[in-house]
Amino acid sequence: MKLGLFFRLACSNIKKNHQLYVPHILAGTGLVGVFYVMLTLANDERIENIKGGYAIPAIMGIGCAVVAILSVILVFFTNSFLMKQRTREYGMYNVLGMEKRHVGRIMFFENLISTAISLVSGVLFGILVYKLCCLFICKMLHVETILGFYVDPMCILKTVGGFIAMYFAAFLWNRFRLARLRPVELLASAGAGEKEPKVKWILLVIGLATLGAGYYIALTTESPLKAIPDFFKAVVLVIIGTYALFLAGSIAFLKLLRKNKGFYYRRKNMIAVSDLLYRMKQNAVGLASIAILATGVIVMMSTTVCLYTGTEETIKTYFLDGDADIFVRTVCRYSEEKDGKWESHHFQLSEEEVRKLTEKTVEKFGSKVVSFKPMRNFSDVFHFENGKGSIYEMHSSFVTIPAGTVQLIILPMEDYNGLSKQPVTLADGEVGWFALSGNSPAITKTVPEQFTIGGQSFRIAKEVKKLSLTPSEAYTTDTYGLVVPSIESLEAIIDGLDRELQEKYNGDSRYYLYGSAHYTYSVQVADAKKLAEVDTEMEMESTFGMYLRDRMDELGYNEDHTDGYAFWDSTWRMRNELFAIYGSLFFLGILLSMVFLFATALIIYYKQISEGYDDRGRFQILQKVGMTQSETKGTIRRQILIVFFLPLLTAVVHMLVAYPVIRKLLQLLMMPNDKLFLTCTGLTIVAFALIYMVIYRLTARTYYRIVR
Amino acid sequence: MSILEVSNLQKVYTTRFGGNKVQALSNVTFTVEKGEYVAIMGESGSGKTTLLNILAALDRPTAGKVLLEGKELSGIKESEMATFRRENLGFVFQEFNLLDTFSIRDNILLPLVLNGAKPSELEGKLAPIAERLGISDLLAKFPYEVSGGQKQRTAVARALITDPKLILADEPTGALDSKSTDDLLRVFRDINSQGQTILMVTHSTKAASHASRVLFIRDGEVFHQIYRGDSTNEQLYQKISDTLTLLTTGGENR
Repeated sequence: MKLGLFFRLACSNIKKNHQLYVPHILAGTGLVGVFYVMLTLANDERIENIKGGYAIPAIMGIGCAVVAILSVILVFFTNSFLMKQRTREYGMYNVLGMEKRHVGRIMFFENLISTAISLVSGVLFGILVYKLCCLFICKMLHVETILGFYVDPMCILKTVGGFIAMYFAAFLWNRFRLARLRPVELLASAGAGEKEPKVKWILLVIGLATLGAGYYIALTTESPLKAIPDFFKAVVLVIIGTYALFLAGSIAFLKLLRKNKGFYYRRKNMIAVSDLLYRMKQNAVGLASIAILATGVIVMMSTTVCLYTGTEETIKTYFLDGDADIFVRTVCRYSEEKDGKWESHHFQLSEEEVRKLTEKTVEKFGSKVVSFKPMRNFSDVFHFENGKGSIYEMHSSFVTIPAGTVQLIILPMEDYNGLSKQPVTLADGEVGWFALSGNSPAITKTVPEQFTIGGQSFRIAKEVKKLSLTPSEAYTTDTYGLVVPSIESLEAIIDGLDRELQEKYNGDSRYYLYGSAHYTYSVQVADAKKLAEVDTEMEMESTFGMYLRDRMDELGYNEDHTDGYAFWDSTWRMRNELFAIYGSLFFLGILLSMVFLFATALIIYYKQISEGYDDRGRFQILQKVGMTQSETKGTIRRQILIVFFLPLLTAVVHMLVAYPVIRKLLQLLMMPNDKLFLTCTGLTIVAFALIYMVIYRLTARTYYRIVR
Repeated sequence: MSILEVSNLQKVYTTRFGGNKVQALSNVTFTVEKGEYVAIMGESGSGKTTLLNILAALDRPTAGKVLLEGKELSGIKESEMATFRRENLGFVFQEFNLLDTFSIRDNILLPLVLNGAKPSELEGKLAPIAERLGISDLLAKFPYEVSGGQKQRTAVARALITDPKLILADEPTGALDSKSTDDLLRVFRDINSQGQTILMVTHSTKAASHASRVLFIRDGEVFHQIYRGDSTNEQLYQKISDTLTLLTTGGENR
């Protein structure tokens, strides 16, 4: 036979089976398009070079990996579904006298055609969407729009190559299945009833255990630091648990219902329960996947939207509730090797010197310092034992933090009073405290009332009004501000801690109080907006660094050894950074959510089709046995709704359980506004439910067309 | 007293564009007495299935009347039809029409449950019927686990469980082997002897030879009927064969 014939047959087969092929090709188009967009974003230098665009390539790289994995799964899923639906047809060709290699050729052409369409339309779609993405990114990062279409041949090549490999592997799999196909079995198997689903007890136990463990971890995680490793543990456990419970738990539950005669033998329940039993058997994996994808979309969107929209708020938390425009942090340190041993020297610039350098810098950029307040503090994680607090050295973020561990920001009373609206008076040896996160317990839960730190004895005297401070590292455990009576006592503490470290490590100066022994000053300037416009290239920090180095030279420190460290942070600098990172995350969230929605829609659509064919027979029998058409429709509709909303419900429950952990993760990112996160989560769930409903409506039409 | 009265039944199918008209039933009139076992025979295309569909209230006649215990079927509202059918009619089909998702027990109980029977009443009704049909041991099994004959007996049990006034059987032996056919016909005889009225449409001379009366349909009309009288099954079989021969070899003049 001629190839032309096979080609024509393949074409007409695709046309005939458009109900199956259109979504297959659409899904391919979508995946190819999104993958191309992400790959190009990861490689486009124009994007990388726009202000705040530096984070995009790395984040899109992660996105590419996720989409690639999902693509493999989806391509094989749709492929195996197509194959299942069409096996009879292929068997028929075989019965009608075509050899398997001929059928194989038809199959090859079918795959070739659908792949070609998917790739071409996918790349075109990708190029279009890429343009839209560029516009969107520019809008999001508040920069001027990049004009013109951008096409990266290398990315097209990689995308097309990758997908061809995937589709070819799927084709080989089909060809293998075809080779093992026996047409006689095929024709016979059509009439055989399906076996009753059995409860898989082991799987049920595994499901309950993993889901329970995952939920337990999510609900009991207390410290934000533990939230990161815990979150991933919980995610893995919950995914396993969801699949296992959809597979085994649903069937066990329905069988339990069936055992309850009083419930089961009722008009509304009997058909629903037993039909659902079979539906769950066939669709458990698909439904569990939908539940996971839905959870993924909701988690991604709620967090990224929250971070993105809460950027200004996050900035406020950093900058004393908006009372400061600039922070200056200084640590001056130099180390030198003497007789094979490292020695380090600390040197703190005086407040006056820092003020002068700051004024000089700000004035150079055309503004004026309005207020300059010291906010000298020392922050670190402490472990308290027998009333003595020592620095807790963390070797890995995956260890369990022992009880009695707490992060403290220690600051002197005079600086506190300078910044706070409610000044306090503390006697010698007294401290005041405030919790930095809203949900921390009283400090006395961790720190004893009488304690020593750095060799100094203190008594916890009173709780004082919260001051919005930022520890040198992100919140790792419960974090408290600790107000000590004077700068002298703070310095005494630092010296004491330094000594303790020296003793512990035999004076090895590599272990010094790095990073945390700096002093911070909060600065307000006359016109922050103007400075933000002037300092687009973030030159103020380097200018300050330059002045600082000059000053150090004056003081006689050897330039080679000088490790003058100035950390300069401004609201605008932070805004740019956060917009860059959160903006790209938000964007990634949107793209991935789109892909996840594709996947969800596709699984639902195919589920509707396969159920439609199964239900058609059942529908007719029920009518013959004496149900009206509307009754039959009613019972089927109810079942479909249950099956349909089960994943959504699962996703919402997952999200509710994950909520506290995610909130802690957001605290790590200095996103303190719980209400905003709650709103974002609520809105995301509502939006997702609406989209899900639309998908259902669209696919249900196909279902009813088949059943009718 | 007659349980079913069919008078001057007519059914004309019109093709979609109103062009061709096909007369499936031209003029069918007969009655079925209570406790009778009537077989309706006829060739493919003679209008048997159309007749049965009308009797089952699945289809409406173009003209004529069907009265079940004096109640006219066409007078029943569409919304009440399903309930009416559930309460008054029992069905047995050629292809069994059991639900794969139900156990044998649940398949039998389905019409009762649909009628809104109390869960506590179910077992009491099920047990004697299952016993009579010899499927008591199979109740927990699923349709795919039992033989064709057993499936058909399940279907009969399902038809009987609501105490219908009339059982309508459409080629009940069509998908059975000869032994299962014998079994099923015995079951039909058995339930008929206990007073159950049965109307069976069939191709099979053997099946028809168990009935108390056989109606022959040709070209949409009742062409002939044979009463069993005192004949044995074999004698009736012979009579039916003769009539069928007459039917197929012309027999324009009755």
